[in-house]
Amino acid sequence: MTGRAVRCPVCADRISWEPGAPVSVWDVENSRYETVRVTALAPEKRADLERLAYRQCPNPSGDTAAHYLPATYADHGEPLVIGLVGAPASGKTHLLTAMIRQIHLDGLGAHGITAAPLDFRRHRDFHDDYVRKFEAGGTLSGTDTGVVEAADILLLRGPTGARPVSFFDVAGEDLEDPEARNRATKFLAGTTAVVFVHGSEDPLDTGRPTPRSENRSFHLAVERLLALPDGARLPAVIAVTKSDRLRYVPPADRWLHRGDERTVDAARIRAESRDVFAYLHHVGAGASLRPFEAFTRCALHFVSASGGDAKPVDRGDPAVRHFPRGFRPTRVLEPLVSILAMTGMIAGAEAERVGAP
Amino acid sequence: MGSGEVVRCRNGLGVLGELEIEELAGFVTPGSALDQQLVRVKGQVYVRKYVSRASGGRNPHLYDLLENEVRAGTRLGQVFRDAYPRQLASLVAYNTDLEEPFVLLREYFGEPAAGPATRFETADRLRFQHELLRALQLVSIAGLVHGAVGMETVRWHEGRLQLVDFEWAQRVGEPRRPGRRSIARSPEQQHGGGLVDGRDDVWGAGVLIRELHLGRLGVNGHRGQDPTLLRDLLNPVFDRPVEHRPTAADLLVRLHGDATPPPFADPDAPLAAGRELFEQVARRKTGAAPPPPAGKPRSWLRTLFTLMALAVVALRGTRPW
Repeated sequence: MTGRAVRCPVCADRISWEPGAPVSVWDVENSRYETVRVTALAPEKRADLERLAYRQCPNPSGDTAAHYLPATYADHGEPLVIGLVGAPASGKTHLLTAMIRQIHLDGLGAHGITAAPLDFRRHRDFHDDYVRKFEAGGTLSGTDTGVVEAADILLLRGPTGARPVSFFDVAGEDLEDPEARNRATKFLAGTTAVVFVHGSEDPLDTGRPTPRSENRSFHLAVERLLALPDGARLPAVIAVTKSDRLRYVPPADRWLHRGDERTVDAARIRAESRDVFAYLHHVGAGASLRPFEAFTRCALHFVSASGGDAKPVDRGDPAVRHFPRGFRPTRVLEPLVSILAMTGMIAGAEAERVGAP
Repeated sequence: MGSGEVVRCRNGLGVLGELEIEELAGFVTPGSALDQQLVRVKGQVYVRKYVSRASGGRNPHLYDLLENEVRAGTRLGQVFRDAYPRQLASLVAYNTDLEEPFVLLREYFGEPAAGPATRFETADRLRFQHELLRALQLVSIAGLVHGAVGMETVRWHEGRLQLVDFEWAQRVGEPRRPGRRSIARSPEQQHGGGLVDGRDDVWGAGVLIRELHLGRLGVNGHRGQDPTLLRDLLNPVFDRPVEHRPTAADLLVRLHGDATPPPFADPDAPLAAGRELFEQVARRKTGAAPPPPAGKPRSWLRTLFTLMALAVVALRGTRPW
C-alpha cells in the first residue's frame, strides 16, 4: 500500500487511499456513478471536482455490495464513525435528525467547531427526507431494515483540525438481530464511538408497567464491540430520548431546564451521567446501563429531540402524527459534544476527563 | 375542546393517563393572564388553565406562564404528596404538548382576597398574616418562589387562605428572570440579577401585609408613619438585602404562629440508591478501593492521630510542666 490507510465506514475494511485514483460522479439522468479521470485536470478544477465526487470502496473482503465514499474522505484527520444503537422506536432517527439540524444551526460554534457536508448528495437527501419533515412538525418513520449506508457524513472543522464524521442510524430490528451476516450492522466493526439510545416510554402506550428486563440491541452491540481490539476503550454515550416526558420530574427536570450547554464541564457531565444512571436504575431499566459498565469512558445524557409528544393530525387516522407546538429540541448535542471530547475533537483538560469514571 | 372529551395528560409525577374532561363555565382570577375555565372530571370540579390558539398567537409569552405554573405545581405535588397543604393551589394533571396546552388544578376555595380584606377585623388580619406566611413557608420548603405574591394571587374563605396562580414561579437557586415591575416584587426580582432566593417572596408578603393594615392607597405612604408593630415586623423585610432578609418562617415565629414544617418528601430520595450504584461501578472501573464505612475514620488518619498523640506524650515527658 502506498496510499493512506483508512477504514471504510460502510464495510469496515481497511483500505488504501491511493493519491490520484480515479473518482466517480453521480449521473443523475442514468442514476449511476460515472468514473472520471482527474490526473489530467488543472489542480483547482481537480480539487473542485473531488469535493463533489466519490470513490468506490474496493471492499477487499468482498462481503458488501458496491458502495462509494466522498472522494475527499481521506483528505482530513482521523475519521469518526458514530453509530446509534437502540431498540425499535427508541427515537434514534428523531435524535439524529435533531442533532444534525442543530449542528448546521451552529450548535457546535461555542466549542469552536463548524460543520459542512462532506457528502453533499447524501446530506441533501437526509435534509429533504428527515430534517425538513421534522421542521414542519411531522413525525419521522423509523429506519427501514437492511439499510447499510451512513445516514449523513459531515466534515467538522475545529481547533484540533478537520475530521469527517459519519453517522449510522440502522433499524432497531437489525440491531436486535443476532444473525452474523446481517449487513446492516457491519458498521459496528468500524465504529469509533457509539450513542446508545434508550427511549423513555409511557406504560399507557407500551402496556407494560416497567421497561423490558433486557435491552437486546444494547446487549448485542456491547458484546460485539467488546470483541473488537481495544473495544472497551470506544467512547460511548447513553442518551435517554423522549426526556420531555420527564421534564417536570427529577432528575430530568433540572437538566432539561438548563437547555443547551455552551461549555465542556467534566464535573457537570459526570453529575448528569450519575443522574441518568440513577433514573434508569430507579425505573427498572438496568439493562440499559450495560454500556456504562462495559466501556471505560461513557457519559449519560437526557435529551429531547422534538420537545414534546406527537399527536394525531386527524382523530380518524392515528398513524399520521405531528408536533402541534412545533419542533423544540433540547440538549440534543450533548451526546455528540461528549463524544467529540472523548475523541479529541474538542481538546483541553476538561474534555480529557469527560466520560471518565 | 368539546364537552366530555377524553384527553391524555400527565399527573404530577409525569405518569401518562387519560381523563374525561367536561367544560362547565368560564373562570377568571385577577392574578392570572391565562385562559381559564371550570371543568368537571369524575364528578369533581377543577380549574383548567390553558393557552388557546388565539391567545397564544397574540401573546406567545403565555406559554411560558403556563410552563411556570406546571413546573411549580408538579414540584409542590412531589414534595407534599398525600399531605398536600390546603394553603396552595394543587395541580392534578397537565399536557403541555397540545396545540392548546393546559394544566388542571383542584377547584380553588373562597374568593380573591382583595374583596373580603376590606372588611377584615383585627382577628382576621392576624389570621391572614399567619396563613400567608405559612403558605410562603410551604412554597419555600418546596424550593420555590411564587414570584407574584399580592392580593390578586391569594384567596380567602372563612379564615383560610389559598395562594394560587404560580405563573411567575421559579425554583430557588436558578438565575432570576427579569419580571414585571410591581411594588410587590423585591428589588432583586425587579432587577432580575443573581439567583432566586426563598426570601424573594417575603418582600411581596411584606407589601401585602402593609396593604392589609393601611389599605391599598396606604401602601404608597412613607413607612416611617406605619404603626410601630408593623414597622418592627416589616422593617427587616424592606431594609435588608435578600441574604439578610427574614424568611417567612422567621416572621411567622415573630407573630407567634406555628412554623413547624409539615411532613414533606425529598423528590430526589428515590434516586439515592442509583446514585450510589453509579459510584460503585465508577470505582470498579478505576480499580479504586471503596470508601470506608461512614462514621469510622480512615486507617491512615487513625495512624496519623496515633503518631501525633505519641509525639505529644513524648514532648510532654521532656518538658517541666
